[in-house]
Amino acid sequence: MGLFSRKVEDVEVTLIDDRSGAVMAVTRLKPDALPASFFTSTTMHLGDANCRWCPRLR
Amino acid sequence: MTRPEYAKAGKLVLRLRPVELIDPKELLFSLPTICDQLPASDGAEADGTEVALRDDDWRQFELVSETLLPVLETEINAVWAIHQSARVGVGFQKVHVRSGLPQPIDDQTVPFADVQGLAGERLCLPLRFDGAGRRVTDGFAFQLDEQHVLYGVRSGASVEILGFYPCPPPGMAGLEDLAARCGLLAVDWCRCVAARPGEASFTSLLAEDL
Repeated sequence: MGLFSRKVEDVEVTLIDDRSGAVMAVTRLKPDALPASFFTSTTMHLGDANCRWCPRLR
Repeated sequence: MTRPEYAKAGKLVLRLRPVELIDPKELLFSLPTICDQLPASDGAEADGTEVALRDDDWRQFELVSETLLPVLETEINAVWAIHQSARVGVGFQKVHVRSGLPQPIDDQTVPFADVQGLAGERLCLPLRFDGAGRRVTDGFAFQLDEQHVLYGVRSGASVEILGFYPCPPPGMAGLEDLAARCGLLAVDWCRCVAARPGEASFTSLLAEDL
């Protein structure tokens, strides 16, 4: 390992139910385990349920 | 938000909605009409600086060359029929998909410079569709104020599509002059209104806010 190599930090991901505003889960993930961007609608599998992240208008 | 941004912040908040299955027979459309064709989204990769439009908002209020009036009337009659026969409460059981005017503005009749003049000193921004990872090819947008957007698609030095979201700002200066100079009608498809510059209907269309 190089002297100046940089550790990739986890990202704290908070999942919120868009209908109620309630926090569904908080987890820590490596950035490369997440989509490169969130401009496109993204379906995430949470346990038995499918949830969809929808970008907002402007 | 992009990976470099959330990796740097160390935090990411996602608002999610469950994917729900519903009976198509119970489905109501919120709009009486939508535009069939969307422009290609194969421009540069989106970086968040774009004005984002939803697919359903594309060309709902636009300018159309008067030479296309016969097709325009056919399309408006079809939308009117939806209002008359398919309205249920606040929704519609059917939607008319407009396909008759793939290019609503005649070639080289609206210089892009005139559209820039209409927007004044406002910054010309790239355009993308909500959920698209790339920009609309040759798309442009001007944020006129907090609620109103002027957008379109260029073809060289001219404009071939020119729309407003959700409509022009009330009393927008210069719009009627541009429409008169370039032979354009203002069309609000969902309300089945087409107005010619110089007539009272044009002024009243611009006096209202959606």
